Amino acid sequence: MKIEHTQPYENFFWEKNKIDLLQKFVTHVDTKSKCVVFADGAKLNYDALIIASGSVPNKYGWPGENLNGVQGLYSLQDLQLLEKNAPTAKRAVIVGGGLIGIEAAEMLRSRNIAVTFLVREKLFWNNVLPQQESQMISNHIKQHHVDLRLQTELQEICDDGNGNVNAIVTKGGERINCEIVLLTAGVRPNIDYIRSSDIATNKGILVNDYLQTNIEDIYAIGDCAEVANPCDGRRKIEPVWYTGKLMGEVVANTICGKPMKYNPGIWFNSAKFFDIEYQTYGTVPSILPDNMYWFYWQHPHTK
Amino acid sequence: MTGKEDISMSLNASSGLALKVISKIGVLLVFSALAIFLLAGINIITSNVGWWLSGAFLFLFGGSYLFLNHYYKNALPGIKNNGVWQHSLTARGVFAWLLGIVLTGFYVLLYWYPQYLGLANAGQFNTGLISLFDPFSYFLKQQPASQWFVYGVCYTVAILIMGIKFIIKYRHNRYQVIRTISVMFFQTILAFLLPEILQSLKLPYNDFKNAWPLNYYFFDGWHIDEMLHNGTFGIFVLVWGILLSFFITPILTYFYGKRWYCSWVCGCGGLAETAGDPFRQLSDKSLRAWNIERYLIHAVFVFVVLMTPRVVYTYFTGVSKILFLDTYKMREWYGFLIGAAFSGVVGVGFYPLMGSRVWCRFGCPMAAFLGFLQKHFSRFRITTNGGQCISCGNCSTYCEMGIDVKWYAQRGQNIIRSSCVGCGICSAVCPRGVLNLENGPSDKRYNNPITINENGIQLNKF
Ligand code: SF4
Ligand code: SF4
Repeated sequence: MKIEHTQPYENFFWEKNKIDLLQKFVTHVDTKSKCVVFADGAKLNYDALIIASGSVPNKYGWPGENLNGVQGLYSLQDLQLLEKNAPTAKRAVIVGGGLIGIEAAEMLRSRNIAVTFLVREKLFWNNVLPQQESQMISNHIKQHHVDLRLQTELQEICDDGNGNVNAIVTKGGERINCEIVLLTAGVRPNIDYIRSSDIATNKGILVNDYLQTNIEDIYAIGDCAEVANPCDGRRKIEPVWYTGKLMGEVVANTICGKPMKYNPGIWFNSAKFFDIEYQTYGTVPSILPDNMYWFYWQHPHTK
Repeated sequence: MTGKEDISMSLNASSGLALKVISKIGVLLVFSALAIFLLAGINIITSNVGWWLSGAFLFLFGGSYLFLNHYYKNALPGIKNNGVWQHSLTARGVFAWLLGIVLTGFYVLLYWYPQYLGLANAGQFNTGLISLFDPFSYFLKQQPASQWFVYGVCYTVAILIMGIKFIIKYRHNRYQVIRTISVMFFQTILAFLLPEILQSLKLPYNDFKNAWPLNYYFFDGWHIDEMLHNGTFGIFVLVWGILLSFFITPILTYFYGKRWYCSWVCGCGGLAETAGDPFRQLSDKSLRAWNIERYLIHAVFVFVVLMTPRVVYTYFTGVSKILFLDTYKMREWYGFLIGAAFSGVVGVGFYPLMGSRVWCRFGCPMAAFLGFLQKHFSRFRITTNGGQCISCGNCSTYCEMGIDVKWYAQRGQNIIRSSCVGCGICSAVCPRGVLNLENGPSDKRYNNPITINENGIQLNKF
């Protein structure tokens, strides 16, 4: 697919709906004079400010994590970088067994690049999925010719002498040659530029039930928001697509004069692991509490 | 666990040398078949044509089988569109242009210069490509082949081979498998074999699934005469044709949408769905394209609707000049511009450049008619499972009709568009199982059973 296939609307949408798109980096939010400051020094005043700056990939201070060929997979820029790195690569190592990791594995396999997938847990996504489901997905990953390494962690990323990655070493001491390393061990809210302002933050930007920060007229939504008192069964930070969308709709009501509480209802989510579609409604614990039991059924003719 | 898993840790999961050789032999066979057609076309093969033709078919089917078997054997069932934007053939590269030129050229010869394909003048023998098909034609109807016979055979073979490929590609999806068997059946039996058998029985050619207004000559004087002069059979054709267009079509479209015709029965649709499948992503999704589509297709429809009563009037009164325009001229122009140039040359010739449904989307009067019924008098819609769309864009990319499906899905709106042919590919490629083709009762057709929005999750009563 091309970039225009992934854009939610055609480009004329913004102007037609009287939305100005500014492509700039915000470095500071001045809540006193109600303006945002850009990297080039320019300023823009606001009546209401909605922060939706998303996440950044986690890095854990691995040696070599800033070499060329080492990257996360979150933004369009990351994707473009991967397009640049992929054609010459023979093998990629993916570090971190979550949803982004498996999507990355699928993308790389579609270009016939060999993939080694390092997963810290006993099985893929074992901290979210119950045992049997985790097992099924792990098998499925292997069927797609991904070299899945369970209970394997990254020790360091090696330099070829020119600032490019040429291998990784696992905690077990094994060396795996590769030209790409994808760090997909989760994400964290992208709020470093907020810390210089007096907007209250914890892991994310703290918001109340109305998605409002500690400062009037400033709201935060999506991956970067941390809901102080989430409703039952919901986490404080939920970096998934549909919560961001719901939050956007809620804030839109609020700033248009119809104050609205954020109430996403029960947890649900969906994903796709190569050819397996996954949907969950309500919370399914990965470790069974005493007063619950699992029902697991698999068609006898499937693997 | 069945213990049958193919768990390979090899670098590129390559399936071994032997199989690669087999698939190369497959490609070689297919090319040999094409070479036979070419050699016949330039009059190098002139004797034993029956054997050559059989050989060509054998090579074509056998080669495709070897290639496909290798290609899909080690692939797990599931949606694979890997590389369609990287391959020259499917991403408007050099190969796509070459194929486009070859196809367009073939259609130009077919419609206007059949003598270059070897069509004989009256009383003489066919030469070239057409003569290669003579034995087959004699076998079916005791007559020499015409350019239309050659075309019919090629068309059917294309639908069969690419249909099998399509079925293997979407083998995990029952809707796609059944639908493809349906188009293969209708093409082979109703569009190809039955008309040939009719001719061998000295009855007029008739394709029983080709309805007015797609069949624009149905009400032409010569066709009405033909039907009236062929006894019970002719009358049957006449009654069936009228029933099909004005009763069966609206009723089936009410219950199932236009898909019952466009992606299950129709020949143009059949080719688009099978041979055109590798090009479906090339359809233009922009609003501009949609605007052009609406003007063009409705203009063609209006033209047909105005033309047909005039033709009938002329037939009964003998008056051909009505309101300054000559009925015969109008017919002639329609046949040239729309019937041949648009539906054939552009419609198929441009597959590799503009996608597989150019004709169906921009020109087909039948599609306009069905689309009007689908939009206003039908139960059919595609529902979007609340707001679970992640705006990934797969659905829009692979919609051959250029519908921006995502635009609706990400807003949780049902998709009711006159152009949707109900192929179900958007639903098949959606990684989140968001899209469902449904025929439920038509009230609340625009509502979703579930909505997920700023008010939380709601189940809506129907
Ligand atoms: S909207 Fe879906 S079902 Fe309709 S034509 Fe497009 S891909 Fe096919
Ligand atoms: S394919 Fe599915 S998830 Fe992706 S944009 Fe379309 S409806 Fe949404």
